[in-house]
Amino acid sequence: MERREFLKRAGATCIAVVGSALGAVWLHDSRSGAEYFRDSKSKKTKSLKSYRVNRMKGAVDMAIVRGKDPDKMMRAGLGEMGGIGSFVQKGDVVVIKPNVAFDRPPALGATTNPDVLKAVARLCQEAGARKIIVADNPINQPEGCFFKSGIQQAAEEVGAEVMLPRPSAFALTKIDGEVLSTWLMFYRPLEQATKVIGVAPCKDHNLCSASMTMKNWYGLLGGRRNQFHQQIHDVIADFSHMMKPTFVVLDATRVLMQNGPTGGRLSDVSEMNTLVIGTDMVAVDTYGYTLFGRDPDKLGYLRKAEARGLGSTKWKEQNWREVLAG
Amino acid sequence: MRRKRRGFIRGRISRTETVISCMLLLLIAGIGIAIYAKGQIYDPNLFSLNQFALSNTRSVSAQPDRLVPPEDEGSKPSPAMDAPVPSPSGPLDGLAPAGWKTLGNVSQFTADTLFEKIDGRAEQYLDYKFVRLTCVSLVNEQDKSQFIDIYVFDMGKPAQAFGVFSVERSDGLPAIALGREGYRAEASYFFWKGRYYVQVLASNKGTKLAQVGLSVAGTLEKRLNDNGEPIWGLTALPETDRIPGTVQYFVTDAMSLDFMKDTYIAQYRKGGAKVMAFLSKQSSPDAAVKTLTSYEAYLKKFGKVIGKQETDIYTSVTGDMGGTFDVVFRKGRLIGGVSMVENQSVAEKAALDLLAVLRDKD
Amino acid sequence: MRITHIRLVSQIFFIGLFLFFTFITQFGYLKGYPVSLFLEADPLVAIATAITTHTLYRGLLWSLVILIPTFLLGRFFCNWICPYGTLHQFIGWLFDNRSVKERIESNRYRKVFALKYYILIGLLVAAVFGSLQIGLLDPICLFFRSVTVSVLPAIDMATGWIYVQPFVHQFAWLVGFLLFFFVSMNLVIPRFFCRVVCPLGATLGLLSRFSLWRIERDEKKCDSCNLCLQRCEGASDPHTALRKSECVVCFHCIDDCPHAALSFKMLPPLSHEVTLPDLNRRRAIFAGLTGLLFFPFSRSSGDLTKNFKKEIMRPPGAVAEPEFLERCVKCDQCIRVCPTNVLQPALFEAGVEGIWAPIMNMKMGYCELNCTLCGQTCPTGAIQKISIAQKLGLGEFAKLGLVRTGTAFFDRGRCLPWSMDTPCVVCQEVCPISPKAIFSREAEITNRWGKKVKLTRPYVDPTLCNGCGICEHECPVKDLRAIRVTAVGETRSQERSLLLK
Repeated sequence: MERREFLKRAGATCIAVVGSALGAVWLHDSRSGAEYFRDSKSKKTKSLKSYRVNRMKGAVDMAIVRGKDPDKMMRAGLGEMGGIGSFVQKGDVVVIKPNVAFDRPPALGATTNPDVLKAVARLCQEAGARKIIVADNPINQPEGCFFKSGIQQAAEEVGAEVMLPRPSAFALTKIDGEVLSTWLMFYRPLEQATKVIGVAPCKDHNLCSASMTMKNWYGLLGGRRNQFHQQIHDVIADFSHMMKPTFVVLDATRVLMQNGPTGGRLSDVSEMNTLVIGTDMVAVDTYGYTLFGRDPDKLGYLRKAEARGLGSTKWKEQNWREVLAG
Repeated sequence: MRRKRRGFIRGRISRTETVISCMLLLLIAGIGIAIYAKGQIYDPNLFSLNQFALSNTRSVSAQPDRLVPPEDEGSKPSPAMDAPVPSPSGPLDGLAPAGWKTLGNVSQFTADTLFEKIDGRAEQYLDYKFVRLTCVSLVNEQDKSQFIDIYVFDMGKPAQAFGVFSVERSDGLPAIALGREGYRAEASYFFWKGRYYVQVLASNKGTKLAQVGLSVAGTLEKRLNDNGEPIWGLTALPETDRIPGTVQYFVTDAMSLDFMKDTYIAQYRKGGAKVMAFLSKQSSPDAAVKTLTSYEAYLKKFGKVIGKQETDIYTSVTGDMGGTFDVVFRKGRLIGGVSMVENQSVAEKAALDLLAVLRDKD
Repeated sequence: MRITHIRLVSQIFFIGLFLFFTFITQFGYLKGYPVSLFLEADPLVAIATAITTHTLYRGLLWSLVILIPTFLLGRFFCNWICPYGTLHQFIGWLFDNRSVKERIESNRYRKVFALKYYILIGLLVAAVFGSLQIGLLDPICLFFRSVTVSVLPAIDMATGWIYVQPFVHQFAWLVGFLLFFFVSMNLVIPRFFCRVVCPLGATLGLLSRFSLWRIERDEKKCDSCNLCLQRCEGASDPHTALRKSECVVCFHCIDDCPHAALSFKMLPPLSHEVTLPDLNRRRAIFAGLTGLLFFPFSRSSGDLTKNFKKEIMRPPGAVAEPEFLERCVKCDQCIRVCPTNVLQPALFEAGVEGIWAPIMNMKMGYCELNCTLCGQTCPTGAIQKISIAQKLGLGEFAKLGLVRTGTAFFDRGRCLPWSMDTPCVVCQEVCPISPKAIFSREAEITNRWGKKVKLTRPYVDPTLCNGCGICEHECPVKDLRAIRVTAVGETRSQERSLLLK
């Protein structure tokens, strides 16, 4: 036989032998069971940055606004705190995190008032924000929730982008809390964000007594978050460690006084026509709790967060204003 | 039957074919023998619980709050069932079971008088900073030829007790759950607990004698206190792949090297190979540098240094001792490595694994 | 020393070794024997798991011992080593009552032999997407599974030599039937499984194209008598152009040729043979499409995610479910070695992808606390090799915690002390964990006859329960146990955890 053909065939065999041997050694995984499980526990995680802004000395950090027009109320409140310009600048990508957890119309007070959302978004646009993203991971069906709560329409009216919680938008994120170390988070909105604003309704809650601005961040988490209820107050305190927003708005235009967090009857809701804007979530929630006629000293997660240095319940001793707006 | 035998079968078998056939037969036989041999080598811990791990179940460790409601004001869960047993005054008093009696009195020996009791063996105990020996003999009243000698060596510190226990222990003896670690040789029992090293020595073999010895050893063990002080080497040497019962602590002359003092040695099973690893905490980083230099000199003298690596965290030297490989490293004031490993890459990987585990423990 | 006789010795040795391994894969006999050796040396298991997991697990490196000689000699594995092939050859020979002419006809190549390549293509394409199904038809996996699930229990029923307490397996009749079917098909087509179905044979057949040594027919000496086909095991047409991908190196043709026209030569001219199997390209693509669509069709049935069944409790040390289905080759070695008969071959509980993969059935057994034998024998790492210390969360694993395979729940309506005023708490008694994962509270009730009865009422502590199931196994309410373990609280999967911490 020709030498060339011989070399070609023998060469092919050689390559097959050497190739398979090398491939096998390269792919070889000799980890013991202990190592395998340790490796699978240490997965790559994302981190969250702080979205807080530097505040001038003596600036007003909390504004309690009374009124009937959310747009005027937001302007008045933020005006006391230094104006939207001290929070949002030209070119910012702002993520507004409302509560769209339930498939309810706005009048039932279980979700963020769409007019409040629009007011916040408009102010951000005036300050020069490049993009506004509205995002939440509801408990009920996402499409139904965004539509029936009016948030979808509100976002469209102001030209904000609604991001729905698709599985690919989640990533394992480092939280480093006392209970939660890492958790699956709705991360995609935060990837591009430079500022984050929480807009939470003020609701009674059957387990933790009240759902306000600290609890609002539950809506950014995914996975088996139905386990949080086993240690709810520590977990809510962890939320205020996890997320450091630019500012938060406690939407108390309608307050769900009982049968929360879902509500269901108009008689559960009280029109209080109030907004509380602040940079310290613990302070805002302390005031908000009094709207139910309850004693903030008894609210577990407030005490825990304050003990961990994540905020202060003594808002009265800080710089705050009460405003009346049209 | 319609089946017919076929007519033709090839007659001439070439020489090549015969030779190859013979070789294949030998190969098949070889495979059979190899499989049988492999069948006899196995880690008995596959079928039972590693005694080291059991030691974790001893103390009442801090239990996390179990089933406590979220608003945890006050109510703590009730403590677990086991609490340490208080020890009476004289541990060797009244140990004789029914049908046995104490021969003579309980005697004690110090460092100065130890040799009177155990002659030349005293030197080893003195190396391990021996403090006091308390001993007594029990004899069987029915059969005076059966007796049990009990030796309780107070070695001052748990590490020293462990050390002398580990160097006296031979391979392959069945482990016994006495003290922190123990084993049985025929009808005699050896264990260490806290700073005590105990030998319960029987005069002859036999199941009955072994049972008596075990009950005596068990009673004695409960009377001895253990302050729970951990042994640095036992935790510093990684447990993964470690062959149980092989850790030894040498005060001096570890691996027959005079410059290796205060060294822990353990055998590991890495894949199919056995690897001996060693670890020593020197008095200072400078002392460690000195020891490493001595080791390197030893490698050069009796073999070849084939590799050296220096980073700002560690220095390591690889030596070819003619058929086996040693890898020794220094990290801070720790000296460690592997010795007499047949395969170079296995040796280097094992040494790196050991180094990696030490990262936080300097 | 005829080479065919040596081959026969080799076949007998390896089938004997295989059966020996099946026999000793049991607690009392196991010792250090490499009982997974056949599976670890199986090239298809190695290649397929390398495709799904992008790694080659531990012992699968042994597959090179079969793979590299295949590159030199061809499909020698099929007729020198493969125990399943030996079984088929033996049964075919035993019941053969054909005349010489009939035998020659039965060993001609048939188009249907291309089926095994289509099967292989389908299986490999499915593997690319992360669904490992080769175990269904791989001969070693199939044979080991059949012996474990059907043959050994049958032998034990007759002789009592296998088990201390008899083992039973779910749907053993199906597995036994399939074994019987494939073996009896040898009476229709000799070596039916090897020629028509075997995906491992197809793999080795495709790789034979590189082999250096091949059967060569000297055309000058050959008179086309076709006697070489009498005992041709691979039906590879040595009488014309040898189909190299079918030749199983049995050497019968060389022995039977009266003209000494056949020989085993190194690198004979390729023009004398058909190197690659006879595949129709369109059918091959169709087979690939089947494999491709299998993955989304089966995964979207939801059995891994939303609709996961509570019966899917995997052995301790099992990896999370999607990875498990990438690794399990359904060899059932774990089922064989499990000392309590708790491991059972699933049918459709884990969806169609999980047929014959192991699940725990606590009615039949329970997971012995100080035992990790399943992980020690698993050849592909579907069940990882964990030490007992890791399983119990002791020693260096105290931080990692114990391995949970499920959690027990009381059905108070069936529990004797809860609803029938009768004392019991066997469950608490047998719970092997210390402190016990079943705790109790005393209750004093007045029974229907007016007598005061003290009852100890049991509760489960989910922080301690590891799902071993001995409570369910020992519960006296034998038809539907009053305490049942289900697949929640598993440590292998965050999705199926129960407690936050």
